[in-house]
Amino acid sequence: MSQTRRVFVTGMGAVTATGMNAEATWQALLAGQQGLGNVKLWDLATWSHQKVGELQDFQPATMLPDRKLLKLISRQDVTGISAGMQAVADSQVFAYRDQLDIAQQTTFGEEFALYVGSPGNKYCQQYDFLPVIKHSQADMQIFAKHLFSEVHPMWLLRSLPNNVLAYLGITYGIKGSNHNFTNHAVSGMQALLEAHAAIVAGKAQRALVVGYDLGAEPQALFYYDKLGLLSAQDLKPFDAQHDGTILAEGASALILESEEAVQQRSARCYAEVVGGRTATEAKGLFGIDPQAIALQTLLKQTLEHHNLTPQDLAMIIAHGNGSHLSDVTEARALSSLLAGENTPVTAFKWSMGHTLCASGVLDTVLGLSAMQARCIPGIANLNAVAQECSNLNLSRMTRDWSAGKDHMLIINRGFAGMNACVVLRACA
Amino acid sequence: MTERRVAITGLGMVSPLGNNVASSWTQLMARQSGIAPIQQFDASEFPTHIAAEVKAFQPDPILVTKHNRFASRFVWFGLDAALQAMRDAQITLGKDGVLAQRFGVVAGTGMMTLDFDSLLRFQQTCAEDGKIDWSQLANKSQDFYQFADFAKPMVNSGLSSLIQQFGIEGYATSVHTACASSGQALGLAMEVIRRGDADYMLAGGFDSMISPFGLSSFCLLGALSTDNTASASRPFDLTRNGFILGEGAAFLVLENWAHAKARGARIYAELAGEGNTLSSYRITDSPPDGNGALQAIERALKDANVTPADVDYINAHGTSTKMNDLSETNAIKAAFGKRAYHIPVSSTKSQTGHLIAAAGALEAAFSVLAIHHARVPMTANLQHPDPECDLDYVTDGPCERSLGVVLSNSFGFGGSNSCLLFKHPEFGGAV
Repeated sequence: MSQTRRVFVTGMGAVTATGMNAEATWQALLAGQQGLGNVKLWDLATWSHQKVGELQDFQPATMLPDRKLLKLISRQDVTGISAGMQAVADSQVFAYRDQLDIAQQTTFGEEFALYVGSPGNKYCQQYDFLPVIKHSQADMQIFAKHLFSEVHPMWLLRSLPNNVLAYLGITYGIKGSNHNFTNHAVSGMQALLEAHAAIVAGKAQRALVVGYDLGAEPQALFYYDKLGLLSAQDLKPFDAQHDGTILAEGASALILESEEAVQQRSARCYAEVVGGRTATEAKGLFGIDPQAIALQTLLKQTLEHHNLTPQDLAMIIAHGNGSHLSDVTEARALSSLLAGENTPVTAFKWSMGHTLCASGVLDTVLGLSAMQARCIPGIANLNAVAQECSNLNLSRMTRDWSAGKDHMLIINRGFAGMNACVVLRACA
Repeated sequence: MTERRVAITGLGMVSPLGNNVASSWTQLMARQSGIAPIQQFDASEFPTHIAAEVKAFQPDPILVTKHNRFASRFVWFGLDAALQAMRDAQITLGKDGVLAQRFGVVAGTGMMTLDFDSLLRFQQTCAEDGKIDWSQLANKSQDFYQFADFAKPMVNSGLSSLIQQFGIEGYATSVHTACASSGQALGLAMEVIRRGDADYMLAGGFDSMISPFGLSSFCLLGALSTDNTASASRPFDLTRNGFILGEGAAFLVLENWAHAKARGARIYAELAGEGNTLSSYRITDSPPDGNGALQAIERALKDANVTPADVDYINAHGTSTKMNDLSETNAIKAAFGKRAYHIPVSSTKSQTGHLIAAAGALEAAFSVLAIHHARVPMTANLQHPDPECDLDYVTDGPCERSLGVVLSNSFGFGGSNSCLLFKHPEFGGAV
């Protein structure tokens, strides 16, 4: 086992409110376009907070090759599988497999890992039980008698939190190490970090990484609203008017490959995954440390571990979810990290909303696009930077990539005081 | 760089056989069954109305704090099992040089669905005819809103409770791959220590699907035995016809071997290897030839640098379903050849039922206890040998046997496979 194995990104995909693929999502970001609007999937006309990021062109029959599969999975699963398939197609990695002999193909599958960030169960998946509850109320004997006529026999399978992992595995014959992270908004980023770790440790040669979520479902909106976490207006990261986030649905995916695997097939590389870390602040399910000590430590340790300094960073993609406390604490941690260094900081959720479990991988996909284009997209709705965030080098305009710098840092945060970050380096 | 070894220095469990390690192990060795008619709700009209429930559970009083006020039943199991494990390991964060930032947690968690009462209130509020009128939820929001409805089913709420209860500030995550969840959680925790991202990890799982929705989901699928007898869970038996739900939690304290030795900790066993694979076959079925599970076993052996000849006992996944038990048997045969017939293989699910996301952790803990006590658990209720399942399933009762290397298998819906390999702390003479 080598501790120095290098890992590269060779494919990416995305399904978001601003585009049904990574390129469309990137172009919308670059053009300063938003995909946020009032909920269309459900009738919430009387609700005070209706703004979400919904997919504009959700056509599952065209997104998946197997129509029979649609009866066995949920909407969120469709997005996750679709993003995964995009990343696979972009990398052309299975075209390479198909050229191998049978024994080599077997090895290829066994050395291919699959790491997914999953939202777990959603409220809407349990609404299938409402008709039987209508009959039974709390009487379990009546409930049991109506169960088989009212609820689909495959309900459990349609609701499995690991459906994306399972069906992508079956679709591509992936048989290597796998994990399905269910850790709220850092799930996708943790999937990326562990896939990277698996390749570094020699447990896999290649990995498909997916993050997906159905953030914008009504009952979740209801509770986020009650907790004061939603903005009724706009998602405005680090802006003086930031007053909450906008929940969104979406998915994103990456293909990672070891240096050896890349060389075997002369694959195109978007960037190298240098590494990252994750840790909790231990402030409760909805708590955030106002001093951001844990986040500061995480970011500093990550750079130190890889012999990097803030001067090496061309860009930082902040979590920037638009909620006041999250933005302010993130700004505090970044100010401490940068210590006066004028590194450009940006954030992307203002465009397509907060895709929760998908957000870490999605920010990585968009960061990779920025790295390719040698530019730093701005926060298009940034009007006046919040006073507590004024130390950050933010812009509403697209900026040039910092000359001579090859690294970017991406930050991801979630409930349970979770923080995660990853560093990527441009390919030479 | 030499890979860091991983010691197991603490165990805790809340199981259908007992609410701590000692009582669960004693009952397991005494051939007792945790399976009985369901008590938590009236299940009498369900096709299956028995399960292996946790009995007379009261969480340790130290856990009853405002931080845990929204914990679900199964999260309470997890908190209590974790507390047992921490006490057993004699570790307190912040003391004796145990840094909170170097302590992590990985939990294999269940589906975290809404509880019945919550959905019933939702139906009464805005879906009186079974169809949802969202305007009604807005109109009655003050009456309907309960913070617990959001906090309890939040996907990482159980993880958050563990983090806050023990003051953990290091690596933290929760994973779900159905019945492989907590086996994979242990494997991931081992990797986190190996690569140096933590010195201590609390790892395990908690789950209960013994609820109206959980029981319904498996009844609809036809996955449960409908015998409704004490012998309904009979892995590897010719007449097996489905599994029996169980509930509970188990946590293990994993520790950098060097740290454990330096502080003079009791080391139950070494978590020396993991095989983590995907079958990529079907969602609910395992390949009849054992593919997927076979590679998990082979990887665990390779990861731990042992040979098939070293393995002394296999704690099987052994669910009591037709396909799983056949597939697992064939995987063992493929991995071990003729030696497969001489390795004791048992399924403790015959006595505990199937703890779903918590199964892997409970069975890992039983595997460690088997090493510690030099005793092999039995497969209960196996009375009609299946010609296709013809290994040594330890049917005569628990037996005494010195164990150097033990495997614990967990396989989940969706095709995820986990095989954990435990070594006696003095295996190979290396201490």
